[in-house]
Amino acid sequence: MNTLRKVISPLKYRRAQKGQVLILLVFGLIALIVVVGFAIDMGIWWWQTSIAHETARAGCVAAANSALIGGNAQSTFASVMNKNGIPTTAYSPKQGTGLGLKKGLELQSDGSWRAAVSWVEPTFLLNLVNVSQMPIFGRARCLTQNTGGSPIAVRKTALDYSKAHPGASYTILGNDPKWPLSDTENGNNFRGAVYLHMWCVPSSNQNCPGQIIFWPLTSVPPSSQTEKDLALDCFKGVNCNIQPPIGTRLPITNGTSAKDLAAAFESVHKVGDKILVLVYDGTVWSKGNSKNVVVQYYAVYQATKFSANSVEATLVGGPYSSLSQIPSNFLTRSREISWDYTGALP
Amino acid sequence: MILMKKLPRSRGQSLVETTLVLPIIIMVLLFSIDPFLFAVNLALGKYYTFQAAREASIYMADGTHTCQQMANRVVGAGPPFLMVDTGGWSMTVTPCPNDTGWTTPTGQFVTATIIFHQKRVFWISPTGTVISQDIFQ
Repeated sequence: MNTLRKVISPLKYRRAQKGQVLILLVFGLIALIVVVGFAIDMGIWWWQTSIAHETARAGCVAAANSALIGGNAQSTFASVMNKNGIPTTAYSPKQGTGLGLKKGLELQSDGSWRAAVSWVEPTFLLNLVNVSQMPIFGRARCLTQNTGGSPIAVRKTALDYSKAHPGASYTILGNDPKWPLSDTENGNNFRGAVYLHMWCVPSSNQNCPGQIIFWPLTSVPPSSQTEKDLALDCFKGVNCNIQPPIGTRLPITNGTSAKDLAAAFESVHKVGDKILVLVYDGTVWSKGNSKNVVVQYYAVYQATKFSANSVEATLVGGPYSSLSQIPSNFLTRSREISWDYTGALP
Repeated sequence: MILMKKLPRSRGQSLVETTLVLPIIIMVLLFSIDPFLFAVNLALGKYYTFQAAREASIYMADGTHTCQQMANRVVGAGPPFLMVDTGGWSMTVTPCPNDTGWTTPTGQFVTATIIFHQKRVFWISPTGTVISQDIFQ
């Protein structure tokens, strides 16, 4: 009897063991699938969140810039969303406000813009634990202040004057009998504006025998109307993403009155705006095809006074001998800032 | 002893069961490698196209750099695609030519597209296309 028990017991034990590894491995397999599935869900969440964030950034900056140049910020924002495949329900109707904005585009009281998109994404494996959706959210905040380049050239001696008289305000555009805009005009009436869309080549030749032209300028010399339109566009920041390097020889605008130039500038700027200007040596070359000046430096001015025929400003930075020396808050146009920044806007 | 010898042998049972299930586990892992790499590459592609479109949208003609150069440099600066040869991907940004005399049309859309051909590790060799759009400032 004892012998039989001794024989049967291990047999029972072995029978009980049958399939144990199989069960463990099945459980292991399930655990593996759960881990892989969770990773897939988290991957989708991360991937969609990055799309939401990047699209909110693009939409915010585009909308802010649209507002700056007189367009419709909301429709620009919507078109960027649509072009990037973001459904309308992700940004409209607007939900929340200020720091708590959840959907849509909103102009803040400080002049910045906030944009947010949010939607829900179906889950892949979290469904098994009764989680069928995951929230996707992206947001951005941006500024519209126009501190880009301008087609204004200021003589170097004016900067020297500013260094000797900090805070001095004088005319940088238009016509001012009390303040000459050039040291040597060679008989021309220089009004402070140059063409960014037309560069003399070779730049070493004072006679400006040839020109490189930039769209939308298609032929030279431009008509006085084209001249005025281009100057206005540049002041507005439209079709004027041109930054002539140091040494570039630029024709001056001489077919547009001081009144028109001042009006164009004043239509898109306000007192206090910072303007990146070109600095030339004070000589307006008048030989050959085009009256021109040579870019020596860059500088940043702040508008202080507008009048019918002129714009006054004060030097706030420069001269700079390269674009990389210019503080970034002087160079940028519409740009992002942090969502919860509370300090004075640059 | 005689009975013991006649009992059914259970030695190797674990091995058999492991042999049955382990291939499934390995297959799950192997089949997930290519899709996982593809997901990573899609995310990278999306990031790069957004950045390229942004670079193009703020491009300023300076007579030296072209729009295309500025847009392309964002891809060169980031981590490489996974299991994609150097020549296995291409990016186009339009309109954004390789022309120092070109300048941007404010308000128009710029489209960045990346196409990449991922090499097969185990299962599939997918081709990904990622597009992002921005507006010229």
